[in-house]
Amino acid sequence: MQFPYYFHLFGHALHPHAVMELLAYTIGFQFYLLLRRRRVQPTVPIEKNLWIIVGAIFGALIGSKILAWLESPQEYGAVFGTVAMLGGKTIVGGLLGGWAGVEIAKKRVGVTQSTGDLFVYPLAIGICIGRVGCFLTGLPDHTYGTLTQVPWAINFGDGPRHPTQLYEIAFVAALAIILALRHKLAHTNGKLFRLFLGGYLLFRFGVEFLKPSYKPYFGVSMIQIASLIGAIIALKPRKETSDQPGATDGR
Amino acid sequence: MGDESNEDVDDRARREFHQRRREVMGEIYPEDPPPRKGVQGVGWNFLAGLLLGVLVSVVVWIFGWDSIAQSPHIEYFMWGFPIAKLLGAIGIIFVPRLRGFGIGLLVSVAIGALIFGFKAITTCKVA
Repeated sequence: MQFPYYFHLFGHALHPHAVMELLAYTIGFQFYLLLRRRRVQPTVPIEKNLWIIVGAIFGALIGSKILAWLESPQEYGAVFGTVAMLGGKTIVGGLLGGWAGVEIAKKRVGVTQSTGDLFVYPLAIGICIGRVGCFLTGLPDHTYGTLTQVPWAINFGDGPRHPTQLYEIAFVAALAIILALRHKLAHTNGKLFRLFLGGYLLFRFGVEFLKPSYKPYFGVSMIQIASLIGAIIALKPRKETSDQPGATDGR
Repeated sequence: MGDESNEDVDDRARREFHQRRREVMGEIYPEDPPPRKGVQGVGWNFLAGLLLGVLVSVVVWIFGWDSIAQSPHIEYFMWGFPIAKLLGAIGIIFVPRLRGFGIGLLVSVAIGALIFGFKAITTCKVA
């Protein structure tokens, strides 16, 4: 298998990352709509919800870019230019920025009830599909692991490496299944979202040690610092709130 | 009652019959829920704007990339295209009937920037 593994459509070579990312957003959003329709409790009015989605997606865009710049300042510095700044992104920055964007949008439109739980499973599906794109892209994606001799190592073209993209898919799928079995869809107070986010960020903090990334801050990278801070905020014990719609707990 | 004609009696009976029927049928078939056209319309408009915006991005960045990459003004285009979409979306949002469509278009700008941002790296390498 050659990396990057391009798809072909009407004579055009399609970049695997773009294809899988497009699929991730499409399937994730459709799944979100399905969950929203099936939800028994009253949901946020549609127009307010759309503004929350705007907050989420623009927050994710800004967060993912800023953290990507901070993660690899030497690479962006080498090709410094406004166009170069458009490239690169991180899921951790996207999640944290999206979370902040949602909270800002909710304040603006006057929504107090939690909205995060509905995003958990669509996010899990989206991350899993998106990471397939990272895997198929190979070395140019910079999401591979360090060189290793483990039996399941993948050769992206420069020797066997930890397939950290596949580790992440396995972890996120397992986390989503565990949360689904333990909590189902009953939680509406944001607890499910915080558990998912906290679990994912702790995983990222750990798995980044298997990546040959730039770690100038006491041996850790900027993504790890952001993951740790985000996980602490997400998993911080807080006053239990009712599962009733309208309950407010900051998420 | 005395000087009431047969026609008046029939008319009153007919009205009472229809009134009663409305009451009975109303129990069986409760009133229609308030029209949801507006709510659904916003949602569908949003989806239409989102799909159209993403479709345009796919066409431009994937199928049109070979032509764009040849342009000497590629860097202007990299910024100009999303900014034009952004301004268009913001303009449409101010039209009340098209607000959902505009929000969908707005979201597609961010999604396009996330998905096709890697083209920026390619551009830098080209440059």
